[in-house]
Amino acid sequence: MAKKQLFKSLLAGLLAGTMLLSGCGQQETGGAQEKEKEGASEIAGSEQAETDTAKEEEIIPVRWITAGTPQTGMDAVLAEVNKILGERYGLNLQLEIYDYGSYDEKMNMIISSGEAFDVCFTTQSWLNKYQPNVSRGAFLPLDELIEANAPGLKNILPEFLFEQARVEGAVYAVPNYQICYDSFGFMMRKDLVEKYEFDWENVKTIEDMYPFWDAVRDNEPDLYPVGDLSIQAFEEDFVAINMIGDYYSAGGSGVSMYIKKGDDSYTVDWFPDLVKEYKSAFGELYRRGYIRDDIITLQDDSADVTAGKYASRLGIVKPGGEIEQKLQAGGYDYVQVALTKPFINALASRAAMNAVSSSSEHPEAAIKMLEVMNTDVEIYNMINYGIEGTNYTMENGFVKEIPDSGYFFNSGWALGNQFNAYLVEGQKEGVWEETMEINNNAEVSPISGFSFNEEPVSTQMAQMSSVAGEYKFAGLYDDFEARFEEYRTKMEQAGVEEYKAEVQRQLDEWLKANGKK
Amino acid sequence: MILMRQSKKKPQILIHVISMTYLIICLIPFILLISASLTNASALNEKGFRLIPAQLDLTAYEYIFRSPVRVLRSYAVTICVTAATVAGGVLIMSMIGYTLSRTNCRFARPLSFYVFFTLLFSGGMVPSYILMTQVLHWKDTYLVMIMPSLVYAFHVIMIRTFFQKLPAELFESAKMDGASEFVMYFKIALPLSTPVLTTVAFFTAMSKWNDWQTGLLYITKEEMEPLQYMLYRIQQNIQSLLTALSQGGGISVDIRDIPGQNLLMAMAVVAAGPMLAVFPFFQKYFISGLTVGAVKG
Amino acid sequence: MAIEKKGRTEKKKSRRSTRIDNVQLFILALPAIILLFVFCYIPIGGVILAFKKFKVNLGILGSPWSGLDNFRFFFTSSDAWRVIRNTLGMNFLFIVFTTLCSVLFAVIMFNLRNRRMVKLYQTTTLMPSFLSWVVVGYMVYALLMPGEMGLINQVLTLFGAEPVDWYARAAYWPVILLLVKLWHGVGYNSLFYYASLMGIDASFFEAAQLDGATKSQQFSYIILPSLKPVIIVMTLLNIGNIFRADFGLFFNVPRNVGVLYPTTDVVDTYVYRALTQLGDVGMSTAVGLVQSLVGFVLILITNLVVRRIDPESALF
Repeated sequence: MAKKQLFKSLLAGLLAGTMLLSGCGQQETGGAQEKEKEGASEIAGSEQAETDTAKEEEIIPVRWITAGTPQTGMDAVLAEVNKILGERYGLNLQLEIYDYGSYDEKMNMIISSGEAFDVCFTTQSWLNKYQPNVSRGAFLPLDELIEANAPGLKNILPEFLFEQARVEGAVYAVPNYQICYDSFGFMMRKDLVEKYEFDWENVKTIEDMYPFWDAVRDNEPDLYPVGDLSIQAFEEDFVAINMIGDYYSAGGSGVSMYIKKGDDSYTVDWFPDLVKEYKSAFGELYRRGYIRDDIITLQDDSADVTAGKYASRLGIVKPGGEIEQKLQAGGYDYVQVALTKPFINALASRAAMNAVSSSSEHPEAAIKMLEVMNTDVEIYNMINYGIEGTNYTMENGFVKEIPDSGYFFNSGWALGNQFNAYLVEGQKEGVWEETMEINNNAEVSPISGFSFNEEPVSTQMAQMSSVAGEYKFAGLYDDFEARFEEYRTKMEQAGVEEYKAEVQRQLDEWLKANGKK
Repeated sequence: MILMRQSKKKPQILIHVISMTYLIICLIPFILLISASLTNASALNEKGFRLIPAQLDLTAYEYIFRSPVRVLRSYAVTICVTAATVAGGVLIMSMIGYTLSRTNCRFARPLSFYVFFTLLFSGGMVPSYILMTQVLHWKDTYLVMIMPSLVYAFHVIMIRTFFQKLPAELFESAKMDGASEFVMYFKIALPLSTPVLTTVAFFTAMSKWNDWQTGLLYITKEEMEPLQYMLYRIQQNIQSLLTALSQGGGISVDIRDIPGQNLLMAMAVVAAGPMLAVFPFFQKYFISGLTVGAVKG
Repeated sequence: MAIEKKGRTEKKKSRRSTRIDNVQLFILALPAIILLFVFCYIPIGGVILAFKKFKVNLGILGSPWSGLDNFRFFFTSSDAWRVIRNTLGMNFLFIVFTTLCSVLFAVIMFNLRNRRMVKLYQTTTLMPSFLSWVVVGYMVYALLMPGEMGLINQVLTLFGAEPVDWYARAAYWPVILLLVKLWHGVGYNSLFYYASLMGIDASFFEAAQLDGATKSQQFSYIILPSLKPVIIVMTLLNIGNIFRADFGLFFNVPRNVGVLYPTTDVVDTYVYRALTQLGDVGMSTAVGLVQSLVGFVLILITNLVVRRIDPESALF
C-alpha cells in the first residue's frame, strides 16, 4: 500500500514539477524576450538621440537576410561595401544569404522565435509569405518610417508599388521594382520555326500554333512540341491565358476567383463553366500529342528545358526574353510571340519585396538601408555582382563574371530596384528602359492592391486545395465530363460558395474604403 | 544456433532462397540509384531509371567533388558528431536503463513514465528553437548537434527490456558479496549487454548520420554543415526553384540553377556510402554478443 | 527476544541499504533525467501555442488566447474523416506487417548457420533505410512510371499484360505504400529482434536439444517468449504514434498526385498543404497536440491491458 502511495505521489510530484517548470521556462524565455525588446527600444531611443548630436560617428549595423545562392567570398565584398556604406550613410550591412531550399524554414524559425534582425526578403506566394507574416505581426508598418527616414524611396518607386503592398491600409514591405506585368505567349526554337517555315509572327491564338506542333510531333521524335515555364502549372496557366482576355483575377488559392472586365458591380465568381471549357481544350492538346505523356507525374523537367528539348514553351513574354531563353534553354536561338496584352495583376508587385522586422532594433537604419539599396546604384551593384576587377569585369558596358571568384550573387530582383542593375553580358541593351515602358503602359487591374485575407475561411481553403489537387489535370483523363462534374460538386461541398462570399465581402469593403463603389 | 548444426540441410536452403530474394529486392533499387547518379539528367527524364546508365555522365560527381574540401569537411563534422553522440548516448542511456530495470528501484514506474512521455509529446519546433538560440545560445555550435540527441526514450526502453532479461541470480549473488549498484552496473550489466548496446549504438549512429534538421535550423556556418544537410539542401532547392517557376514573371530564377536528379542521386550515394561500410563492424559485435553472454551466463 | 531484535536490525539494515541503492540508482539515472527535462519537457510548454492566436511581436505568452479556434480548421473540415481513416488504417497495416516481417526475418537470420551470409543479408537489407524518402520517391517512380517506361510495366508487357497506370489508380496505393514501407524498414527493424535473440542464453537451446524439443517447440517456448518484451515495446511505441503519419513516405512516394489523395492523403500531408498557405504556428501545434493526445490515451489503455495480462512486460 505504502509503496503504491509513494509511486502515486512521486508521479504526481514529477508531473506537477515539470508542468510548473516548463511553464516557468516558457515564462523565462518569454520574459527575456520582452526584456530584450524593451532594452532594444531603449537603445534605439538613445541612439536616436545620439544620432541627432553626432550623426557622423555612429555606425549602425543592419542584419539583412535574403534568399539566393550563398557566396563563399561574401566577407570580402561586404568589407568593401561597408567602407562606402559607413562613410556615406553611417550604416553597416550584415548580409546573410540562405539558399532557396532552406530560406523558408529558417526564416519561419527566426521570425517565430522573435530573434532580432532588421530586413528580410518576402514574397506573396513563394518564400517567407507576406500576408501571413503581416497578420502575425512579423513586419513593421512602414509609412511613417519611410516618410521620416527614407523619403528617397517614394521619389524613385512608382506609387502603385506601395499601393499593392498595402494590407489594411498600411505598407509592410517595399516591393522590388522590376517587371510587373504578365504577358503570356510562346517561345519557339528559331531553327525549328525556320525548318518548318512556320509563320510565327502572326500567331494570335493557341490554335494558330497547331501546324507548328503538328510538324514537331511528326518529325522530331526527340522533342516535345510544347511545354510551360513550370510543367506542373501547365493546366492552370493554360486556363489563365484563356481567361485573361476578358476576366481578371481576384486572388484565391485552391480555386481562382475572377471578375469580368467592365463589370461595375465587381461580382466575384469562379466561373466553373469557362474553366471546364478551357480544361477540356487543354485535354485536346494532350490528345493531339502536343504535350508529353508523363505530365501528370513529372515534377521536374528542368533537365529537358536546359537541354532545349521543347520546341516551344508557354511563358511570360518580355523584352530580352528570347536571349534569356537562349542562355537557359540549350543555347538555341529563340523567337517569342505574345498572345495577351501586358496586364498588371492586383498584387503583381508583391512577387519580390523586402520587409522590416518587428524585432528590428534599429528600424530607422533598416529603412534607410532599404532606401540605399533601391537608390544607390554603386552599392546595389556591388552587392549584386561583387567587386569590379575581382568578381567581374566591365566589357563595353556589360558585366562579365570572373568564374570561381567567390562572389556573383546576380539576383538583383531579390535585393531592390532591378532597373538600377548593370546589364550582364548577354542581356539586351536597353532592356530595363523597355520593361519600364511596358510597365507604365500596361493595363492595370481595376482592383489593384486588393488582397484577400484567407484566415476567416481557412477550413474551406484547406478543403478546396485538397479538391483542386485531386482533380488537377482533369482534362487529360478520358472521363473528363464526369470527372469535372464530380469536381464541381466536391468544390461546392468544400465550400467554394462561402469562400466566394468572403472574397466578395472583403472586396466590397475594400472598394468602399478606396472610394471605388 | 551453434547446436542446431545437426539440423537438416533442406530448411537451410529454403532460408537462403527466401533471403536471397529479399536481398535482391533491396539491391535493385540501389543499383538503380547508382546508375541514375551516373546518367545524364535529361536522359533520366526521357528514358527513366535503368539498371545500366542510358547515357553515362559523371557531371554530378564532378559537381560534388568540385570543392572536395567542403565535402570532406562535412564528412568530418558528421563523423565527429555521430561518434560523440553514440559514445555519450550509449553511456547515459544504459545508466538510466539499468536503474529502470532494477526490481529494487522504488521509482522505476514513474520514471519509466517520465521517459516514455517524451516519445509522445513535443512542444513543436518553435519552443525548442527559442531554448537553443536565446536561452542556451547554441546556434552554430557542436553542442546543439550532440546534446539533444543523447537520450532517446525508445532506446532507453530497449536497454531496460534487455537488462530485465538478465538472470536475476547474478545480481542477487553480487549483492550478497556486498557489491553496490554502481559496481553491478559496470561489472555485470554492461559486459553482458553487448548485443543491445551495439544495437542502440548503431541506431543512434544511424539517426544522427541521417539528421538534417539540426543543420537546417541551427547551423549557418558552411564549415559546420553536416553531410545530410547538404543532401537536404539539394532536394529542397529543386522543390523551391520549381515552385518559383510556377509563379510567373516576378521571380526570375535561372532554370539552370535547378540541380539535376542525377546530382540528387549522387549526393545520396555519397551520403549513405560510409555508413554502410561501417555496418559490418557493428555487426561483428551483434554476433560476438552471443558468445560473451553464453560463457558468462 | 534476542532473535526478534536481530531480525529487526536486519530489516532496518536492509531498508537502509535499499535506500542507499535507490540513491545510487537515482544518480545513475540523473544525467538522462536532466537531458530529457531540458530538451523534451521544457519545450512542451510550447503547446499553449495551440490555444493562442500567435503574434510574433507579442511573443508566445503575450499573444491573445483563441480558445479552440486553431483546432477548428482541421477538425471541422469535411476531409478530416478521410484523412484520419487513411492515417489510422495505414499505420495499423504498417504496425502489423512490419512486426510480422521483421520478426520473421530476424528468426530466419538467427537460424542461418553461415555467418558470412548473415552479414551479407543484413547489410543489404539495411541499405534501403539509408535512403531519404525523397530519393525513395524517385525510385518507386522508376518502377511504376506510366506507359512502358517503368520497370514493372516493362515486365507486365513482357508477359503480355496491359501496362497499368499506377499513378491514376488510388485503389492500388495502400498496398504500394505498405510494400515500400516494408522494403524501407524491415531490415532495420529486424535488427532489434535479432539483437534480443542474440541475447538468449545458449544453454536454453542446449537443454532443449537434450530434451529432444522440436524446432517448432523451440520457437514457441524459447524464441517467442524472449522476443515478447521487445515486440510489446515496439508495438506500444507504434500505437503511440498511430495518429502521426510518416510525412516523408506519404508526401514523396505518391508524388503528391492529386488523384491518389483518396487513399494517400494523411493528417500530416493534409496539414502541410493547408498550412503552406497560412503558415500558422498555432494551427500546426494544435494538430500536433491532438496527435500526441490520441497516442497518449491509446498507450495508457494498451499499457493497462498489458499490465493486466502480463505485468512484467508493461512499460510503466
